[in-house]
Amino acid sequence: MHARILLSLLVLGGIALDLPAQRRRPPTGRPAPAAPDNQPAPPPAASLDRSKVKAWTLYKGADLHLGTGEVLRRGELLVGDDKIFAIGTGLDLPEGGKVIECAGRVISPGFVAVRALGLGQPSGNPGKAADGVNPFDPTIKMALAAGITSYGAIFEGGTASPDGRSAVLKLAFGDLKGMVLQEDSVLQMRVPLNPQQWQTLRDQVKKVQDHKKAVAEHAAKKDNTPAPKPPAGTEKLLRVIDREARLWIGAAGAYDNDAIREALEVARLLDVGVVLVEPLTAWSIPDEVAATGSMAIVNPRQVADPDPGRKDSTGSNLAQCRILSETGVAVAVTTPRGGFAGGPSIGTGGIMGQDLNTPHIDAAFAVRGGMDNREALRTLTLDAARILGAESRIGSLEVGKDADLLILDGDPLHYRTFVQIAVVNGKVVYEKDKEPFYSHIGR
Amino acid sequence: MVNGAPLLAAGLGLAALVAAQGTPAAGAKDSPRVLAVLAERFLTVSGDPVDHGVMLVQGGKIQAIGPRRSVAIPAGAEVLDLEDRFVCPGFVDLHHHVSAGGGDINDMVHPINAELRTLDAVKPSAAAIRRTAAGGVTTTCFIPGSGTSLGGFGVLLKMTGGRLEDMVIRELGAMKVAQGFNPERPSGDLGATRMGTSHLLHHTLLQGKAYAEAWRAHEEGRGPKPELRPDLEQLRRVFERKVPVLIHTAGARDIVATARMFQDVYGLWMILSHGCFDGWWAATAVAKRQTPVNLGPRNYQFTRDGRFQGIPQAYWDAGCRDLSLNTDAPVVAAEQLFLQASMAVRLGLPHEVALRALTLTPAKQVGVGDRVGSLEVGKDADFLVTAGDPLDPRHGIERVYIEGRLIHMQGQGDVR
Amino acid sequence: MNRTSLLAATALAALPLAAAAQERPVAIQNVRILTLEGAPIERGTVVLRGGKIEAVGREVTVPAGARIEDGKGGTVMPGLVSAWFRIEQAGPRTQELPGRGGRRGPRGPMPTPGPSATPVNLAASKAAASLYANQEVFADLLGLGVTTLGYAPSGQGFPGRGAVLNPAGRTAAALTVDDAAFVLVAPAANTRAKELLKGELDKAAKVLAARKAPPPASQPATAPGSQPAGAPASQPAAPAAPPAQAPQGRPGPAPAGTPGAPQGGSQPQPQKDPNVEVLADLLDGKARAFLEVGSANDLIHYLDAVGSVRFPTVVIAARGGGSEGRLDEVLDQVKELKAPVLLPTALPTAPFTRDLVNQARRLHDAGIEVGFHLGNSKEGVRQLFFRLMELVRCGLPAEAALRGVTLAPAKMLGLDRSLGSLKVGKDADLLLFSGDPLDPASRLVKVWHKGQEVKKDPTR
Repeated sequence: MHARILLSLLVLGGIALDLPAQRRRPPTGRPAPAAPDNQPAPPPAASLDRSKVKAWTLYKGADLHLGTGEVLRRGELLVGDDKIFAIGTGLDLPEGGKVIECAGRVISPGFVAVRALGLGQPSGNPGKAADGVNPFDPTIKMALAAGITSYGAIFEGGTASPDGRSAVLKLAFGDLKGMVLQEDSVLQMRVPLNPQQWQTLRDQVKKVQDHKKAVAEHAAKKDNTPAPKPPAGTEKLLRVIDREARLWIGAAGAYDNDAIREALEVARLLDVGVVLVEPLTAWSIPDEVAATGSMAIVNPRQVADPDPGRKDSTGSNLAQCRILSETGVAVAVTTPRGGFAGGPSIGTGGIMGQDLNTPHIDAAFAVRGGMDNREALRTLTLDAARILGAESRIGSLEVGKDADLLILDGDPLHYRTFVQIAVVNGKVVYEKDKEPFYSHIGR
Repeated sequence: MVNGAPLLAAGLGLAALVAAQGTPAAGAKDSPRVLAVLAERFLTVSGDPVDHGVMLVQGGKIQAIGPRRSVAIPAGAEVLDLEDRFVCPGFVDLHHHVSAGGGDINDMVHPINAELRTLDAVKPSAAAIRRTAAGGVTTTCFIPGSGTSLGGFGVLLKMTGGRLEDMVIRELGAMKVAQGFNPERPSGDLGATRMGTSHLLHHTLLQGKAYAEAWRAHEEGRGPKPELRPDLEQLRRVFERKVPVLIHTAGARDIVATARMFQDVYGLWMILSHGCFDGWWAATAVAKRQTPVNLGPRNYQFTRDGRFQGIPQAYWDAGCRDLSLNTDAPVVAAEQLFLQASMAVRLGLPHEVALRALTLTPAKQVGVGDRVGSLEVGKDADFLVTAGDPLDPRHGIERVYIEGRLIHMQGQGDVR
Repeated sequence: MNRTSLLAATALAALPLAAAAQERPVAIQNVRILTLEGAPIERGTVVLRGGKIEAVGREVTVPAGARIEDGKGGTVMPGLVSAWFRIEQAGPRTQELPGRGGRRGPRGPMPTPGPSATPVNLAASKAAASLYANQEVFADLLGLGVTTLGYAPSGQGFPGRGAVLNPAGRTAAALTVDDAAFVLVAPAANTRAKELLKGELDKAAKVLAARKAPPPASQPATAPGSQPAGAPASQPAAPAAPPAQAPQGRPGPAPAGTPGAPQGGSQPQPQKDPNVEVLADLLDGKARAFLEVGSANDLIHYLDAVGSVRFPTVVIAARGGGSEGRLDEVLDQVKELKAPVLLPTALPTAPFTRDLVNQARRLHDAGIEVGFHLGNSKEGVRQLFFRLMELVRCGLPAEAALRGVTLAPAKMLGLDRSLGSLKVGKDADLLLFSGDPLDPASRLVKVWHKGQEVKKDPTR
């Protein structure tokens, strides 16, 4: 990896880095199966129009941890309004632009919490999330202090079929429009299903397939008759099958291999990669997970003992993130919950290291289990964004993506590292020295 | 990968390894062979780190430690070359509740339970014990809960599993007292308020004191033989200062009240445990009395002016030097004791203080500083191996040794 | 505004005048006069006659036969105006309400426009209709110097119209000076509430366009001030939008017959929704809105819902602080509304801290006119001057603090021609303090309401 980046620098010299070229690298471990859900969507570079930019900012001199697994030493990052326009060295700053010197600092993409409570998300049922968010929620500032710039707000769901409401929200403090990235890109269900629920799901899938066939035939006819509508009750399933929404699958009981295999059966039935939500033992059958193109949300600190009554029972493994990732399964980390743990919220209850005040500690535990330090940053950035279906906008420092970034005083995953400045949509929304939380801690 | 573990056949499960009694491991109690541990850095805690050093272990004890040029490896020693790894003393957690495998720590009928002890509840086969050890915690004080004012006596254990006799360092590890909130009995008993709980404790302590004094008088030939009081026998050891009182107490008011009662009035050997919420406001009073403090599981207070105030750092800054950290497991998972120190450092505690607060300080607080807590000649060979700073969560604990015996290897056995 | 309220206003004006005309003028002498329009007058005299202020000044000729009131070096200031007052409904509720579509509402124990969890358009309904007069609070407040009340309905969306009350009244009719003083707009951060606001205002824009269209033209015109769906909120108001500046007086009554007047032609008129008609008046600048927001968040969701639609507005900040932002965090949006703001007097704390924020000073410094909630009970109003003192101590100019409970709320209610300052011709509503009103040692000595001395709240 080092060599590759060095090579890029040598070849590119003063021009912007060819980031997609860097990303095309062989996955570590065995080759990933060729499921389309395993490939992150590229950022929409076409939307960049230099002539419309009002304010330019050039971040200079920091080590850029791109979120893709790559690091660019002492690089430069050009932001126009709310988008990243260029990454490289010796970049030209358009006239009137501002330079932010970041020598000795590290810049990382803002962290993406796949799931969080509070942080300005609507309480109750507001209708559309965009009509209920509270961009003045003071916990937003606290989450920014923890490095979180966007998160999944998951309101409902978790029945026997794809269902629920969700939103990917950004921590654009005070900015209503800037807060909502997308709605309902995540649907949820849970396993196990009883035989009747399986039958219902199969029937629904059949209806969706018939509907899709009818739509294709209608399109081929090219007459002016109205297109067929999806059968009632299958709209959400259709969105999953059409890859408009990610399907997260949790487990009602223990998320052991039986439950994981049932979730993977759903993936095969729908012919999409799904997201396993905190599977316990996926590390013991990583190939089966990878074969479906599925991804996983993992709490690396989750522990469970093997079931002594079963020979094939394995229990938890600190190495789960590494094993899944090496097998080609994208992983996002999440925070311990249940019992005394803080869960996916910003707490003030007094135990640091156990909630979303320290998301980087969750990723650090992935490293503890053997994951490469740079790869592990993906569990908080690009791969977390993929699990939310938002990777074309957030999760990495790439040209065309949203300017959501952190200026850090050390390696993103070091336990002593603090966010000095957080930027969302190109705007500075948090400065350590100006907020009460950590300004008393010098570094 | 690390070389030099000849006893560890590839793929051999750890449980099997521990059970294998055929050839005793070099360095272990029951083996005459010397184990020579080579590593990049030994964090001795008692002194400066030893870089590029060697540590000789025999019969479960540290025989020598120093730079490789000054410590000769005896012929026939088994060499464990840990290459660029760090070695640090096993961690000590004085506030631990899970060595019974969960629960079994609150006997709630009476508010005062001076006759109870967790020794009777330890479950040596509990996975929780193996998991605790996997987190580098080699010694725990497994104490009763805070459901009653005097919960009973905690036992001081090595996290080896196996036979209980081999685990126990001291049967009466510490007497557990709980102050404020948790032990209050709101359902109509005496002890619904701080007045009531204090009265119950005073009542018991006065009896215990008189009982202990009567025995001492008898033993010194100054009095008749007292009638045996099973309910006060254990308490007698506290007044003989053979056993400390570990007191669950938090908040400035309760902390000062606790130090006043146990240190000033009864002159007992006490360890102030938790010390959280606004307890750090009383840190100066604690520092003045040189009270041993054992902080956790809460490691910060979110102050009324919006600060994440590190609690250990606040005590340190107020002059408390006798400072250790705990998990209150299961509140913080037992295997995450190190993270309590990491977070203390994040919030301002000096790194070397934080490492000492996991090792030598708690060992001394509970009276076993001569046995565990640092890498010194003559001490138990309880140590762990990491790829670097043991407080960095990214550095997994690759191996854990207790008394020279390999107890845990990362990724092996049933606790992964 | 409609004929009923005009009648009520006239009736009210007539009653005390009739009584006062027989009375002797009163000359309050030897007082410091805080006119709140210009510098204070030292050792001046105020003359009251016929319920009005006849003279104010240093050198004032006391009319022959006037009763002399020695102020003993105290201070006089205008009576307090509470622009935002709510009380629990009490007593029998037998008033009838206009129903939707112009039909008569149900009779008997009735649905009042009370607090509603669901957003509604009941803009034509009137809070005054459910007013229960037989409550001590009116006299209590008057005794504490509150000489005018703006009485607000409750609920989400457009829950109804507020009233101006005369606290000296003893019957609902005598209490009610104007039963259509303002239209309450109560936004909320949810889709239903936002869609209701937008949908009803769109309807109102169409009604207004129809009203303004020349009679022969029948094609529906896009209403001025309304934006097509999806128009960005940041667009400037359409050129034909109603005046954004709150008018400096009471909005004139709608031209007689406008709402219901047939517009010629033989086509059947669609049934009019009186609630939408009221909103059309609002868009036309003929009525004013009280925009009740709990927070900065409510305000930005409101702006998100209504886009660039603007009408004469007073922003009522129902809460000072909390976890949804303060109005001083959205100064640009408040300024853009060109609306005065009515704030609670308590200093909010900044989130997570004990730092007090003088929101009033921040808004005042930004050039926004600020008034204050007086409180809904005598207990609340008794705190008022202590709270004002605190605001002044924390940087709000004393003049702004006192105007914020007199002239500013009078303007908000559109009553500043007759209330809110000590000026010749204005209503003789004034308070005599033993010293400066913002001095904790000074005491309320006397209250005059429409020239009448009222029974002051007893303090011993």
